[in-house]
Amino acid sequence: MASGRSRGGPAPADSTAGVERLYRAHRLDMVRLAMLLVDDRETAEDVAQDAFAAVHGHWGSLTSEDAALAYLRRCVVNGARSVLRRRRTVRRHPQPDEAAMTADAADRRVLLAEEHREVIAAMWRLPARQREVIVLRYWAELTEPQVAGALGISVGAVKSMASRGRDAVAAMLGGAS
Amino acid sequence: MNDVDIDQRIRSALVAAAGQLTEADLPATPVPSPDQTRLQPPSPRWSGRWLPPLLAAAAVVAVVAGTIAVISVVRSDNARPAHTPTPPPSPPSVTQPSPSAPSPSPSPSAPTSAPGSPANPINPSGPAAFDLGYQPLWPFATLSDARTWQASNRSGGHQPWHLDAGQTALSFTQGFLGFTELDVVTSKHVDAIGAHVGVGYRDPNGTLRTAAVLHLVRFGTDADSPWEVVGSDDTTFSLETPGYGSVVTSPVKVGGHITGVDENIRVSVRQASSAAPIGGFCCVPAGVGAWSATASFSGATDRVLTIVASTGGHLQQVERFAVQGVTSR
Repeated sequence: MASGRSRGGPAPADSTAGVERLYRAHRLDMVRLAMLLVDDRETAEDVAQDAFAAVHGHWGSLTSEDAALAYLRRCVVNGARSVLRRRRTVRRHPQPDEAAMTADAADRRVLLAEEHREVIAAMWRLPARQREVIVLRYWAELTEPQVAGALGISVGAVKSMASRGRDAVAAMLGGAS
Repeated sequence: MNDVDIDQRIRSALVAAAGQLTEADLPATPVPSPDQTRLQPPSPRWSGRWLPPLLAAAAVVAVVAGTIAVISVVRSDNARPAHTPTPPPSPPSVTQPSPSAPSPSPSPSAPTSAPGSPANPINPSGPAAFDLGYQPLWPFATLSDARTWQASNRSGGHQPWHLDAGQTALSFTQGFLGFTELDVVTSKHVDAIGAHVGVGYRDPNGTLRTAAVLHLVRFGTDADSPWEVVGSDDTTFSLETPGYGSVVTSPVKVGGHITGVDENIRVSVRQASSAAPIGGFCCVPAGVGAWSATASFSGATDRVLTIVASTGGHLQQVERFAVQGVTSR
């Protein structure tokens, strides 16, 4: 993920120019991050789009490009959480596009190699918070303090959840094999 | 399977899954502008990019036809007991720790049209054509209740604090939950999904402490639709069981995770139509990691119940809390 290797230069004074630069450099990564958290590409695009829009409003308080990126990442995570919260309610009242969304995710998973499919399926059985930690640690390659910042939790909690999540995935894969 | 193996498998799978999406797959969407943030609940297929033109189109239809502008027809609102809990007599005072804290004066989310403007009509008794998408915890139990307030506000500015996410979050905390020591908005972030408002207190050193981050959304599609509390974000204290929106009966197993405190955890079960909790459990010895309790309750009449977990005692009675919206039927 490019966001884990970004430069820490000062953020441009103009929010429009700054957000545009972020957008060009990190849009794909943010959509990918959202997709790993919500498992639906179109929703992921919306979550990422809204996150970039939210950065505008806080640009004045973001002192560097790294800070802007951290804020952006946090917006994506929060947006994904809100989507999942709403989806849990909507699933009790299924709608046509819910079925289409599930099919979309299923179609994409078929394209994954079998060993990857098992891991992703196991990841989706984790509690949401553990899944977020795993995605940010293993895919985004963030440090534990960075993950803590993105999720608004302590470094100790990150370590704990990463450990529990990894053990749970290992147990599920061990049970499956 | 050793640690290195599982680490590598997880990493490879995530990279492969993310790699299914390439730059070429993304639509050529313009860079978001500052005013693009939506104040609507997300819909899997309704992109925020399309909301402004849809709102404009709906307004035109309303003017020409003189009918209600129905923007998002998803499903009919469930028939629920019509009830609007009595809010605190006056909004609590709000400390402004940062420029993003709410102001007692009209917020940017205040109505953009004149009261009673025919271009933006309300029909409190009309068909429910808006899907909140979340569990409405407080202050409104139904869309009808929200629209009734909206109409009264337009006619006479009745209880305008409903238009301020920060004030609504504080009123929920103090008026509904009874956590009167939590009297400060510590953060406020309004985005496309809704609002995330931190509520808390100042410690003896004057440092702001956040007790919970509440999630609010607009109950309706109008610019002056009131804010509704729909849940809390997980922080260092989470309430994960029962799941959001799940149907519960008494006794209910409640649980989550906590870090950083050693005070007991108290659980209460509330409904908007009752001033006092209808049940709960005290107390769970807190430690680091998972916590759980079994709470009993009786007298649930509302469809939506609010389970509240709180902890504190070091600096003040309640220092952190989390809520979960569930249903009783």
